[in-house]
Amino acid sequence: MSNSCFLENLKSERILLAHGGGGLWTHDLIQNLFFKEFENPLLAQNADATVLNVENITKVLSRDKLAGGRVESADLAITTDSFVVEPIFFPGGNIGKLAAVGSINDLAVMGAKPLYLTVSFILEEGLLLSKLEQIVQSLAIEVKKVGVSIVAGDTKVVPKGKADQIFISTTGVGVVKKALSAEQIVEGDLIIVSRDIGRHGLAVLSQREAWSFDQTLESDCHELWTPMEALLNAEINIKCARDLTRGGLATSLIELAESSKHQFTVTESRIPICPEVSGICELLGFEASYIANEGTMVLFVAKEDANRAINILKAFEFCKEAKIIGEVGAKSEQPKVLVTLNSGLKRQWFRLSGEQLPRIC
Amino acid sequence: MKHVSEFRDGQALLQISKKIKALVTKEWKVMEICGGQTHSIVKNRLEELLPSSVQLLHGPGCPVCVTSETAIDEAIELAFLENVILVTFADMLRVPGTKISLAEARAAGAHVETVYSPLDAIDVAIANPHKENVFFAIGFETTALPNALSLLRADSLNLKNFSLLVSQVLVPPAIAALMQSPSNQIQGFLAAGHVCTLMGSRAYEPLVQKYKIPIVITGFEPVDILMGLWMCLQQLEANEYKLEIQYKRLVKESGNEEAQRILNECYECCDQEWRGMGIIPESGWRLRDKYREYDSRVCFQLTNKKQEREILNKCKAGDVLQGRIKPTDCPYFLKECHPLKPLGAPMVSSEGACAAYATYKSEYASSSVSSKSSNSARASYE
Repeated sequence: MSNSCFLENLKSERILLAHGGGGLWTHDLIQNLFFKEFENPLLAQNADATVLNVENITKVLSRDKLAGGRVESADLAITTDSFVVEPIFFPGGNIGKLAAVGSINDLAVMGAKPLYLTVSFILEEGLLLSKLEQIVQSLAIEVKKVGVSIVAGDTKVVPKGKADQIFISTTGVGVVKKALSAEQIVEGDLIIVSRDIGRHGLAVLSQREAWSFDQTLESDCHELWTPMEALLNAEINIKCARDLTRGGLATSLIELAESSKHQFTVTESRIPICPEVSGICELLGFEASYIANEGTMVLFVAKEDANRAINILKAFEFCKEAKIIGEVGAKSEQPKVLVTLNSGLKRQWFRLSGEQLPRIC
Repeated sequence: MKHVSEFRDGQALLQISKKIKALVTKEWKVMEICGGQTHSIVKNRLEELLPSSVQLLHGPGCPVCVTSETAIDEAIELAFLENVILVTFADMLRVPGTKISLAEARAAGAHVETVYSPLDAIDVAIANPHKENVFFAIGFETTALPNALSLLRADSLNLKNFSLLVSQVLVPPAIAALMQSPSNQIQGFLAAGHVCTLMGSRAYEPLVQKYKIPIVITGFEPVDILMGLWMCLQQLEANEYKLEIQYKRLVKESGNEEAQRILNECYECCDQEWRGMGIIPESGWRLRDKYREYDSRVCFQLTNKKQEREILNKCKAGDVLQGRIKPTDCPYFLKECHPLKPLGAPMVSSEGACAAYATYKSEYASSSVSSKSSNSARASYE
């Protein structure tokens, strides 16, 4: 049975302006939806700001063998994101799941254990409460999977037509277990991608344009902390990692080549791409390497640890296509990302000027 | 057969490259017609597999690039009308008209919507019953078919608020125009595989005979293109000229007869203006009289300002589209003209030669390719 009814006398199928008014409707929404789904002792402080104890944060590290006992201090990592995806429900997830994994993954690829999240909602008047419940529940499920607590939030309601159903903003805070950075990348490191690429962008696009294919393509939307934690606990020598989002694999590698000032070479045939993504790309004239992902990371690993890293990743169902796709070359003032083609010839990946558009004929 | 991976096989490419190098004794200039072929050539660096005596000239086969400034201006004029929604492919947004593009018109208040398919334009019309919906129907024969299907769907639904602004172009007259140009250097053609999938190969036989020039109907994958080129070069080296089909897995001599029936139902031949090439006689299609009520030029009083239009743009689209210069020969390439701020259509479209060069070319060039060098390129992790 749907939870559309909250307080006995407050019943609404849809979000009303009153839900953002600060009165009973707001109180009802916060208490009986957000606090109920995100329940934790920190959120229960229920004040204008949540007080976090720094010693408690560093104790997280002291339990970890990497840190080796008592830790005096820790680096925190902080990230912020906004989510405006359309449609808000897509194969493999929804905007709530996306909001959770977005910030979790940004922390994970910095080698930081995600601890806390803040969540702000901008809701359009008229949004079905049943949809909002589903979105909030998805968000709650994702944060619980990795032990993250939602410690602060905000809700605003705007008149109909002023927002596209729901926008979500998050800020994530984590504690760094092992600092990863582009500066640590050296010649000879190998480049690993954690799974097949290009799913999220095409899953969302297919849903938005109501394309139907024989096989429904699902987004790769997934948290990446659990495989990252497994790699760190196994003391894999990871230098750097990135969550592949907008701009895809190609854009992330271009940015990292520039940050690290190293040339990268990738072998095109080794990049894992599922048949559904490959087929849609052929139809539309897209290149999978530039398509958005939401649960895929690229890692730079010391050569001697790369095979072990692949084995650890493959133990996770959502990383079973993990592959070594390339290697780090020499230092360069104008570093390039080169792609070795089937013919042995090489071409360079450049940033696209805008989004990919389907071919016309 | 896997239609994609087999035709991207690296070893097959190197073998054909070897055959071409062993075959060629003279200098040859061959034009690939289609923008999709140009992109494949540049993206896969196929010119590096050819002897320096063989030059590939990039042809006018990009539907966005050849759409005239006049047609863009007409679309903009309609888009600014108060009760009109101008519906177009997204690629067309940034193409400059005489003064501005559809994207700039939209920013200035014109109502412009984008669709992936012409049939989606029908959905826009149904969703906006109180607006006049104009679909900007551009492209070659390949796009003329789905454009025609949208017309027939509108007719079957008796839609009163839908019309097409037609700017359709045809490949064979463009080939004739290129061959008649005094500066023509083209010695052979790789014709567009998908156009011929629809239209068949028969329209090209008269061109072969009249201009005594080999035409090979070619696909789009790297192996397709090198195979088509090899077939063309074999003819040239033997001083022959004939029509051949390389893209046999899709192209039949008769083409797709049902598609042709639909095209013939909806369109009749007319003179057409091509960007950078001027008016080419009998090189376009317009809607037949029976579909006049769906022709935007009949429904709306467009001001005919063509004679006043002065092309202010210094873009060298005409020279690029006719293969007279490569994009890199243009003085504005990647200086004043680049993908973020294009001077002309070939830099805008995903099928344009200038966009292909800007996206895929770099100073980096691999050294000579041989079986040895492909082995030595083997990565340390394989």
